Amino acid sequence: MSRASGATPWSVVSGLALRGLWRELRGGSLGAMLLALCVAVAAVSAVAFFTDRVERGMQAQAGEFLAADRRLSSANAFDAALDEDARALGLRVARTLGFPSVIMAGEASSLVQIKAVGEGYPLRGRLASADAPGGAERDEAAGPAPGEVWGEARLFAVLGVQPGARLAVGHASLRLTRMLAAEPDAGGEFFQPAPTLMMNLADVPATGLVTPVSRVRHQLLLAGPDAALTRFAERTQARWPSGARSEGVEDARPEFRAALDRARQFLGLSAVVAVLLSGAALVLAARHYQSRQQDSAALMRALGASSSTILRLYVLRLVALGLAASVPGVLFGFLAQFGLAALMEGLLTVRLPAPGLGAVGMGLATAQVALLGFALPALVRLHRTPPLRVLRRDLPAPTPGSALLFAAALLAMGLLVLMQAREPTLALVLSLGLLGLLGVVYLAAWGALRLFGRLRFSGGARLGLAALTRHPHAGAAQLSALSLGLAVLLVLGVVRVDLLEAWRTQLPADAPNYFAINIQPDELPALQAFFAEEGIRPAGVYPMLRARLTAINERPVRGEDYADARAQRLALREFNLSWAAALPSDNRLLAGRWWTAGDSESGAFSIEEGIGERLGFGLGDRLRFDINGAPVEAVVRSVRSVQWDSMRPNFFVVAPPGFLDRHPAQYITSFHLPAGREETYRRLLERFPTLTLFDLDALLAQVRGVMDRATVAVQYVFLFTVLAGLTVLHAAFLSTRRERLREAALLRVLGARRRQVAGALLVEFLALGMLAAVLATLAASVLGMGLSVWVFELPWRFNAALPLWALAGGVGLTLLFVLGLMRQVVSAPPGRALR
Amino acid sequence: MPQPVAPIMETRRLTQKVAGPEGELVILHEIDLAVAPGEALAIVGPSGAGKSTLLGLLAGLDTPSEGEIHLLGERLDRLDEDGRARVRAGQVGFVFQSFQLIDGLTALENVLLPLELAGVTAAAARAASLLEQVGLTPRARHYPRQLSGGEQQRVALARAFAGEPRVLFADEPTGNLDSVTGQRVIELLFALRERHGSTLVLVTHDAQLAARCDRRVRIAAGQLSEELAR
Repeated sequence: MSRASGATPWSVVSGLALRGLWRELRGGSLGAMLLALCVAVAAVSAVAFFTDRVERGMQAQAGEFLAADRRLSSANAFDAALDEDARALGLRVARTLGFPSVIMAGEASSLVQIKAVGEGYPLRGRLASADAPGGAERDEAAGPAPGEVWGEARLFAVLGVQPGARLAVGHASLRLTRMLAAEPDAGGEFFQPAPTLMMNLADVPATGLVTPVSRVRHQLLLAGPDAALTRFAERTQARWPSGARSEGVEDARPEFRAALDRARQFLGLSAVVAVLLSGAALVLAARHYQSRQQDSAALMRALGASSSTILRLYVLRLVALGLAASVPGVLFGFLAQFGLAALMEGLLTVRLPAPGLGAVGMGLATAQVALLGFALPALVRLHRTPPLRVLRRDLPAPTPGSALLFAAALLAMGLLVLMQAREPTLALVLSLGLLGLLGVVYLAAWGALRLFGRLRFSGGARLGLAALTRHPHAGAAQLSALSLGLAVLLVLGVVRVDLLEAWRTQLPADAPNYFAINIQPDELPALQAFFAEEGIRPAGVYPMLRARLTAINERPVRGEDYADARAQRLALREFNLSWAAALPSDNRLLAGRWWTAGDSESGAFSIEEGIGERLGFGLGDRLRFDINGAPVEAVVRSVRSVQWDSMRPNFFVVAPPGFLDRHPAQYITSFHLPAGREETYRRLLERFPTLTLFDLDALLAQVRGVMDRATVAVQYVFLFTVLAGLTVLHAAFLSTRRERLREAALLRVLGARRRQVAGALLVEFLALGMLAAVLATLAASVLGMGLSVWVFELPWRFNAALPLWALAGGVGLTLLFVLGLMRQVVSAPPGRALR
Repeated sequence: MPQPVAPIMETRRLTQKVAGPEGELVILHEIDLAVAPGEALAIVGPSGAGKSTLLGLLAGLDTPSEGEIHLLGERLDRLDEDGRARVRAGQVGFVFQSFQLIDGLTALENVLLPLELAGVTAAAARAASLLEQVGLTPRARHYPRQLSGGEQQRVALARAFAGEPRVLFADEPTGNLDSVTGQRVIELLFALRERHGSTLVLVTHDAQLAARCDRRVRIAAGQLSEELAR
């Protein structure tokens, strides 16, 4: 036998730590911590797996998303000679044209995004089609032949057509021959509401849909060596239309990336709420574990273990517990992400690759941070357990100060939020917000329990309610966890629908529900006659011309001068100018004056208040616009407020009649068409095939569809919050289990029947569920009211269904939970429990 | 005349006071005690007299209010908690009234624990042999809750002797056992002590058990008095 000198070796400590861990996991004394960790890891890794797939899908397609190496796009046509210049430099060239339109197939119609592709398309990436929706995909070297169109699968469903059907596209009749299965440059957006219809560029003139004033997007696609692309840009840039944008592979969908970043942050932070609740369960479970480990720690100290040995032992055991919990947690998250992907399917324009291992690290890190922040502080003083405890059981281990517990939990929370938000400032703001939220909910729960504790009950109810209020902190933790989970689900499930409903009902019944754009000036008299015949009263017919803001008071406008992303986009994009003699009825003059005689000659602008604030101009400033290459300059004479949701055409910038007349314009109007007048709608499209009609109800339904599915995905993530709330219940129950068993036994010895003992338990948890329902209803109502009144400026009304949903959720969850535990408490023989 | 031997443990003017509801309470008052190597000492006295307090102080589990404690050549009252733990590691064994086995460890692992903590290599065979000496080889893989009280105390005995301790402290080792089982445990305790030559300090109520020791001291009202051998 040889004896090592000094401290206990690591091998021994780790052996003890792991052996103990395994036994305790099997014996169940670490079960509460394991469960809480599993839920936390599952929530975070489900989101991480999913967003990792989307990210990798995007990267994989970055090279092909342009269908080219470089893409020039502009609202105006590119000079035809550019193609020859590019070819001379050894580049390959193709053109595309994109615009929205409404197409018809017999009686049915649909808004589509038309993509007309020319020879050579696609230069990069994969184009594929199928015989029919659901059919086998076939790679295509080129787009549809002249006279043919390919449509996305959902278009077949919307129109109720089979391959071979004839579609009216503007003035042209084209045959829908195949289903468009894959296009490299599908959308530029995260979500695309209208289905794509691909046609041959050569057919566009016959449709009559594109005139010099139409809203279209011309694209010039280029592929070839970098040097040649650069040479091309240098030589020809001067001849590109004004406002032309050049994108390379490196620009990989900035809007998409921004949307993905936001989605990742949002889903990730939703998962963090679950992690924080699990953290509360960890705190409770760790305190319980600590109280049960004091004897072992004292004994080891009596047997000569140094305090560092004991500290190392428990830290190692926790780290190992984190790893052990990560395995099922990550596995569960892996399975859960399939659900998330299924919910988001069809909304994403990215093909998702198989899940990768990238998310595993996030799961592992979350487990460790949560353990070290929430559980370790409770255990860290075990190494100071007085060895004398082996003789005197009443000597406790020193408990860690609440300052330490709080600081560690706060640090862990900050880290967990940072891991999801990935921006320190955002993480700080969110952490403080979350802390405030949790604090308020906790205080409310604590107060509710105190109030409850003052009520006097009799019989079994008294016992049950006494149990609920006996441990105020554990009780408040349970109650706030459950309330928070419920409140989040209520806001997503009920309040959101209420808000949308409130918005819809406050619109007048005859508010316009159709927008018509792309109205050519020569069509205007016939269209107005049609409206008169059909008894339709359009909400004003306005000219519309596209212009780009180029200077404010002689200072050129550049996107990079604005910090705000929206302002950048507004500064870069073309927006619509109009002219009007009178102030539109839904506009209000805030500053300045409406037109006076002479304004038509010298020029003047009236601006909407928001755009002025965002882009930094106002009354008296001189704005210069570029309209199709021609500069137009005038001073801002008035500022208006606009009621955008009146569903009438409205404009950021309006000029007096006569000032812009020499520039080509098209017209826009909106009108109300009551349900059941599909005939009128069809006649309108037949008479004016180049008109683009937006059915607002259908669009709203589409937007709602997207919102609903996105919400379901978020709700799905928040289910983990509810699970985490249950782990808090579980941890709190376990920490009082011995006490409960002893009391139940005592009651039984004193003559209580099983039913009475079970009844007390039931009362306790029913009361917990009901209190949680009350708090959740309150929280959801306050949030709903805040959103209505301050954010959306809508009338708020209390939804009577809210407390019912809350009650069903709260009582249902606690009942589910307590029924599982009842047997343990009730059926244990009293003799054994008392020993 | 025998050579005077240096005591293996010794106290000088050892005093222990605690704060009570009615002011300071003196539990032990200026106690001088010396124990020779290999000696078996019984500490007897009524409940609450301070027997276990003295045991805890002698073993370095607690610190005195005043006075000196020497154990195995070290001044315990001058060492910090880890220093005292170092003195105990592998040299001191314990037997408690409530057995104090670790629930999550098997009988064998409980015996192994002090050896592992002291960094002893190749300890498994020794632990197994100790279990054999207390007649529990068939129960080696059982957990404490699967053992009877007597068996648990025998595991505790095996653990106490696992490190070949120079000093063994026993606190009412038969207090939780019936008389027959208690008797068996005592036989085993003394047999093992004989074999290992350990010094024994035993706190007990049991006059019969005390009588088996070489020397008995009685604590009453914080004072120590030597009892004469009968």
